[in-house]
Amino acid sequence: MLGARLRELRMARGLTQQSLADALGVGQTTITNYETNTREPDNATLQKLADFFDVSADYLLGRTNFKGRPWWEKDKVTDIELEEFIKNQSDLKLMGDSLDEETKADVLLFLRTAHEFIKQKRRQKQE
Amino acid sequence: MFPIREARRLSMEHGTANPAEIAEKMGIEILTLPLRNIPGLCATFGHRKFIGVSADLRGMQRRLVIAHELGHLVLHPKGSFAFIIENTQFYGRFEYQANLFAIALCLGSEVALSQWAKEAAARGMDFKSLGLVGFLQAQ
Repeated sequence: MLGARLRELRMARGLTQQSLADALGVGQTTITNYETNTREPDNATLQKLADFFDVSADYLLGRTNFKGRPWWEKDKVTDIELEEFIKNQSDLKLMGDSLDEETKADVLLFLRTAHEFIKQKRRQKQE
Repeated sequence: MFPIREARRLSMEHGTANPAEIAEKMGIEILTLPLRNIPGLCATFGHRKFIGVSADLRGMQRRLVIAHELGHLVLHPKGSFAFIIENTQFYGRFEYQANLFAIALCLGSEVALSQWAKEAAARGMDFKSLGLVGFLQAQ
């Protein structure tokens, strides 16, 4: 799955395997191997590929057809995005009703803190 | 019972029955937050798992809430958007299982097999009014 997605993204940008390899600092055969699914990228390289094409790692892995990054993979997230996310969680209900304001504030605090944590970890990895 | 078995398996595997330690060993992050309305919640974002717990909770209450959330993460895997919130009035099957898991982990599987545990798990985790401390002393 990763191979096909990677090839598609690369072609869409008119890049050769060589130029993608150069941009990522890997050998051209590595890209060939990824695209033919003979080799899989490690986590760090997967993240690099996702950053390069500005898609989510899940999209590259074929676990979602949604190209965009989820909020926790982004550096900044707005309250509107988070509230939208909360609204789309079908499990997130109290007695079948939508959340009251205090509970929603609790959930937002949790999401914000988790986001900060993930961001910090990502920075540590990059350094 | 599946939740009780899982609690026992996890505590054996990690050499501790402390849910916070088990969570740490499993790479689950515990966030202690000034929550106003809910005792705890958990979520999975990508490959990262989080448990949020109210900063007001201490001792056994904190332990039980963390165990309950850990129960959700262990018993109820749901892809990358798993998100479950607690409340004391509505208890579905998942809540019941997470409660039983928490009781088994914190109080032992024998207690979890008792009639009391079944009722407590079904009624919800309102351990303050259940007088859990009294119960523990009575054992």
